[in-house]
Amino acid sequence: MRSNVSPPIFPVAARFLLPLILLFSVFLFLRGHHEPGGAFIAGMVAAAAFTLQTIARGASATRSAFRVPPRYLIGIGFALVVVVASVPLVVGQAVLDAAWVTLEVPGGGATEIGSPILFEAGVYLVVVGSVVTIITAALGE
Amino acid sequence: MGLALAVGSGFILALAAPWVCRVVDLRLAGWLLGLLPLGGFAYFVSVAGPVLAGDAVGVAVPWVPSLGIRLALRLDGLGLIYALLVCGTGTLVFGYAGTFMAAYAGAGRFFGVLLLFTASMLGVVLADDAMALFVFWELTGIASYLLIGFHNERGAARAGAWQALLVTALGGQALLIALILTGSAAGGYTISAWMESRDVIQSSGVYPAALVLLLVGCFAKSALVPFHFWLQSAMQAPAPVSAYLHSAAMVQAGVFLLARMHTVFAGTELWTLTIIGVGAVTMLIGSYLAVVQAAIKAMLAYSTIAMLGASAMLLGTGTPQAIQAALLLVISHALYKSALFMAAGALDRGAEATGLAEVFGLWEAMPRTATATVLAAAAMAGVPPFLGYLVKETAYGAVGDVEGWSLFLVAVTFVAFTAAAAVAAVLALRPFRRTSGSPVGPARDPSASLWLPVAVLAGATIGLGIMPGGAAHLLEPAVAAILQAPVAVELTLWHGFTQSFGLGMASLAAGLALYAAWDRLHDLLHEHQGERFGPGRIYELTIEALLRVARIQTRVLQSGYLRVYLILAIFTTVLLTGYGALRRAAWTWPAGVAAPYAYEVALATLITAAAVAAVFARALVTVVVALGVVGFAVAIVYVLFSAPDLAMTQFLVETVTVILFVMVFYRLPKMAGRASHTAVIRDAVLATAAGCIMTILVLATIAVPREPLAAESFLLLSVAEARGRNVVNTILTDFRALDTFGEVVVLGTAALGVYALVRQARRGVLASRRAAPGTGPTPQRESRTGDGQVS
Repeated sequence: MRSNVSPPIFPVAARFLLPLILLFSVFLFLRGHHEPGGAFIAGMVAAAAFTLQTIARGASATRSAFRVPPRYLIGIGFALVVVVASVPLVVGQAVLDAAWVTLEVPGGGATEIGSPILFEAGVYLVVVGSVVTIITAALGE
Repeated sequence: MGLALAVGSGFILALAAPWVCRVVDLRLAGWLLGLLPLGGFAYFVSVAGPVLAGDAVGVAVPWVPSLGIRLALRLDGLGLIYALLVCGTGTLVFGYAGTFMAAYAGAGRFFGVLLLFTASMLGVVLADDAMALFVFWELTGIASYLLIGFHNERGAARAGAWQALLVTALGGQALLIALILTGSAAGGYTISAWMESRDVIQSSGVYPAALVLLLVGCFAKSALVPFHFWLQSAMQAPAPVSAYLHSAAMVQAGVFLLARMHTVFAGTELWTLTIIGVGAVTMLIGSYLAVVQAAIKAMLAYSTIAMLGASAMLLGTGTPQAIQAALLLVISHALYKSALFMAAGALDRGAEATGLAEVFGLWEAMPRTATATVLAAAAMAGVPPFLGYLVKETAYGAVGDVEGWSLFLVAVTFVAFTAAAAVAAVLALRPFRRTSGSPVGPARDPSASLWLPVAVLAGATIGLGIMPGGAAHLLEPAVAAILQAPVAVELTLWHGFTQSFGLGMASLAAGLALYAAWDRLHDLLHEHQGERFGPGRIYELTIEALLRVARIQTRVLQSGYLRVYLILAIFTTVLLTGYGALRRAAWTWPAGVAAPYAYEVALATLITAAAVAAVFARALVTVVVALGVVGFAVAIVYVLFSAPDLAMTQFLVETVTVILFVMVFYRLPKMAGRASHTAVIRDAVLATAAGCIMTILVLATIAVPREPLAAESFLLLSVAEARGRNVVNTILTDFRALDTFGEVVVLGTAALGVYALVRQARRGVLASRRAAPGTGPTPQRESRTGDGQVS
């Protein structure tokens, strides 16, 4: 926590681990619909990555890694979830009704993409934003 | 779809209003934003053709299909009148408000809320679904709260806003129950369908309760006795708000709903007698209170109450002619009262006056404002050829025909119209009369935006008065919609020397006589202003008692000690759950359980040992680590029972929690020492009880025969409907997405709460450091949250 006291290996390692863990979090996010994973778990993994970062290099380093205050992510996540929930209303469907499209993947094959992924993105942002807000608030100077 | 757009565009534009007010000069922004209600007005005129011919236009969007709730909108004759009033007066009020509000900061917020109100009010008058109606109904109340409290630096404005919200929201709750009762009797929430199942509703057992609750909701919204006191306090609002919400629109919602529900509920004695009685009493009390006031806005507010009572009384009477009179009164009152409130604001601006005592001789100084005000006041007094005169004719004609009641009703109507004429005379003549001396301050006409809307509204009442055919054309489908039968409406300005004509002229003359005696009357009544006893006082006493109870229970429950909260929460859970579990649940030791595997025994031992270690640990960090062991071991249990999603979540949450605890405890002072013996015993008993209850619950859950329906249908539908093979995830994001939505809101709110708390605490620490440099964390912190007693 006190970066000036702890040996340099930890902060340096944390720096290199951050993108790796975040990549893993994206992986968990994307596979969630068919395999174990999903927005909440992925969000917690990303939050854990930032927690590691906070312990290694301090709350201000984590805060500056975000362009905006981390609590803004909560708001953006809320907004995303509300939009996904209310768009079906406008087109005459029930609240939170899912819509899907099938995309042709170049080089053969097809994949389905639907509105639940936006919903999950909202959940993901709220989870990351919440945990990072709490961590940086509790550990910040 | 046009209807949905007419209502929805207001909500969307409400968000943009603050931006418009920042970019455009405010005087222009008012008229610019007024284009929305103007557009609505044009839209409703354009679709009026089929509605006036007797048809209804409708649109429905599903909202909660599983409960049969839809966002259904329907425009019929009754809705058309109100929609035109809301949009028409709305346009002028918006234009007026731009100039009026330019003096204050926060005009952007003001216009945002005003647009929210306009859209909600349109929703109320167009809703064809009871739940949608309720939502719009409450939105108008919230908008009213925000607008009354616009000058939130004034205590009186805050109190008035609060009172209006409490009273109307209380009525709203009654209304909600009434709508649910009616919906359950009718088997659906579509209002137009209720009208067809009227006999079913009226013969069902819930009818009396539903009717009484409905009336409470309507009376509270329209400020009828005994709920009338909130409207006077609502006069703390800026003039445009009083001109719109508290004369033309929101307070009319209760009367509107009475008219709307007439088809469903009317016809019984309970309906007729209650509404006529309350309406008549409101007319008398409102008239009396209007006459004894000294301030312009208070006089207008109480005369509004009297006229709302008159509308209700006429609706309760229920003959075709009475309903015509009620609707005419609604139209006429909305137009002239809106105009007069704006005039009061303009006078206020021009002469810096709020009471009538100090202004006079303004005729030369403010000729345009004066002319417009006199016209609007003449409309209120019911001078021919204004619409107000037609209202009086029809109303006297209607109440004169009622059997048995007629003498009483005619007398009450006479009192109300006399008081209205007197108030109108005071408004029209006193500020402008010539008295010796000069007017206070340099008074002059304010800009056209402040007096032109007054003139336009007064002109509209003349227009409708001299062309009664047009008014009749507008009324016919509305009366037909209320009575559910075709009715021919004929209106003429001149009936000859009938009884109604005589009564109308007599109440005008009596009003003028009252005006002549005004000063002497007020000297006499000087002691007597306002209400010392009555519903307003009961309201105050209730609120005081509520606050006292709140203070006591806060002192007991909200001690600020975390362990007290925990004890209370666990104790309550043990008590309630234990009572239910011991009384009802069947729980037995499960029979025929296979012998556990060795690793299962090992895991159980580990969890138990870690829990015991947590209880007996001496250092906080040890406690955290021991609890972490419990959490991780539970995650392994999930793995063993093949629930990978659950296990991953548990591992991650546990990791972050342990880190967070360690980091926070690192900063807290050392454990303050062991708790006392009695505390240890108390905690041990409570913990054991909680553990026993949990065990009983688990056993009871196992004993219930498993119903595989839900699980199997999720497994079946997961790929087909939600297009995912991970059933846990499809439940979270598709089948039960609304639950996830709620959980996300809870999580985010909790995080923001932590953020706010920590920031505030830090600010407090900084402040105390600044006050006494060198002292570290305050001792108070140590004793309150950081004592870390573990028992």
